[in-house]
Amino acid sequence: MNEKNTLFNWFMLVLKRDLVLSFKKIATFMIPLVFFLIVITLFPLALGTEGSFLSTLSSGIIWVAALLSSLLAVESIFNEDYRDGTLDQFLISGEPTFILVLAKVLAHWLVTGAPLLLASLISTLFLFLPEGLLFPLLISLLMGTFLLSLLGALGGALTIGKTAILSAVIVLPLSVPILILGVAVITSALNGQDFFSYLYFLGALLAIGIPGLCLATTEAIFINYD
Amino acid sequence: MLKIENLSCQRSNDLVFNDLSFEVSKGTNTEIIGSNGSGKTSLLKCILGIIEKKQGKISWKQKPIEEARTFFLKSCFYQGHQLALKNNFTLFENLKFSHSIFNSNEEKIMSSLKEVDLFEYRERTSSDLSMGQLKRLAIAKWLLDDHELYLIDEPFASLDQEGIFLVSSIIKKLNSKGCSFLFTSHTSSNIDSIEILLDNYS
Repeated sequence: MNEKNTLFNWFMLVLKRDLVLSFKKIATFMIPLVFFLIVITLFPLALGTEGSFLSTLSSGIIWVAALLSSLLAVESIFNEDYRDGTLDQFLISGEPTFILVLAKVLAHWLVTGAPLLLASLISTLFLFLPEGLLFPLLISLLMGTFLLSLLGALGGALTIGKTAILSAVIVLPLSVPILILGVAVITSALNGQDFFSYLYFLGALLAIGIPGLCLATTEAIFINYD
Repeated sequence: MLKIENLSCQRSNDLVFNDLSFEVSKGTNTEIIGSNGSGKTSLLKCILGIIEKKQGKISWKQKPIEEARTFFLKSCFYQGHQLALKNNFTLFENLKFSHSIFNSNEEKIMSSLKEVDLFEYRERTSSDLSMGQLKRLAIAKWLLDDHELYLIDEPFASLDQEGIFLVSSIIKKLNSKGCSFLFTSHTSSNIDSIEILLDNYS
C-alpha cells in the first residue's frame, strides 16, 4: 500500500468512526439542528409576522442562528476523545495529526453544518425569504458552516481538557468575518445586487482556512496536550 | 530494544523523576513500581513523546527516539489509565474502531473477545459493562495485533483474581512470541519481570 492510500485510509477511518459515534449519540446532531430551528422560530414570535420586515432581517437571523448552533458541538470534536484516552491513541498512532484534524472537521461539519443547510430551507418559510434567494443562502451557508467547523476545531484544540464555554468565547470573535460575509451575500441578493464578490471572499477564506486552520489546530493540540 | 539513559521529566516546574536508566529487551517484561504521583504514567508518556522529557536519552533499536519516532510508534502499543473505549459503541465496534488504526480484521476481533471471555457480550454497548469487564475489553485490544513493545499503565488495576490470572497468561503468551512489556503498578506483581522502583528516582 502506498503512502497516499495509507493517508486516505487513515482519513476515512477517523471520519467513519466519528460519524458512527455521532449517529449513535443522536443528541450530537439533533441538538444543533433543533436549536437552530427554535432560534429561527422565536424571531417571528418576538418581532411579528410581517413578511417584508422579517425577510429584511432574515439573513442576519439565519446566520446568527447558524453560528450559535455550530458552537454547540464544538466541545465534542476533541474533548471527548481526550477524556476517554482515544486522543492518546490517535496521537501515538504514528499517522499525521493534520489528517486527523481534517477528518474530524469534516465529520463535525457533516453532523452539524450539513443538517443546517436543510434546516435553513425550512427557516425560509418562517422568515418569508423569497425563493430566488435559496441559491445564495445555501452556497453561503455551505462555505460558511465549513469555516465555522474549522474555527470550532481550533477552539476545541485550544481548550482541550477545559470547559466548553471557553471554546465558544474563543470561536465567536473569530467568526465575525464569516458572519459579515455570509449576511452580505444574502442581503446583496435580496437587494438585487451582485453577491458573487462576497461568495468569492468566502471561498478565498475557505481555501486559506482548510490548510491554515488545520495546521493551527494541529499545533494547538500539541501545545495544549498533557 | 528500548534503552532509557539518565532520563528526567518535569511537570509544572516539579521534577517528577530524575536520572532514570534502564533497558527493555526483546520478549522480556519490565515493571515500573511506584506510589501515586511518582511519575509512572509520566514515564510512559515521556517515552511515547506525548510529554516532553527534560533531559536524557531514549533509544529504540540503537537509534535515538527522535529519529525513529514513527517506526517506534508503529511498533508499540500503549494503554493508559483511560481505556480509550466509547460507551456508545458495542464491544465489537470498540475493538473495530479503536483498532482499525492497526488494520485488525473481524476474525481477530472475535477471537480476542473469546480470549477475554466477553464474546457473548459482543453486541452490547460498553456502558453495560462493569469496570472489570471494561478492563478485559481493553485487554482484548492487546491481542488484535502483535506489537514489539506494550506500554501498559497499571494492567492489574480493577481486576479480580480471575482477571489478574488472565492478564498474566496473556502477557506470557505474548512474551513467547517475542513481545516485550513495560508496565506500571503500585506493588510488585507475580509476573516474571525486571522491577524498577520509581520512588528511588523522585
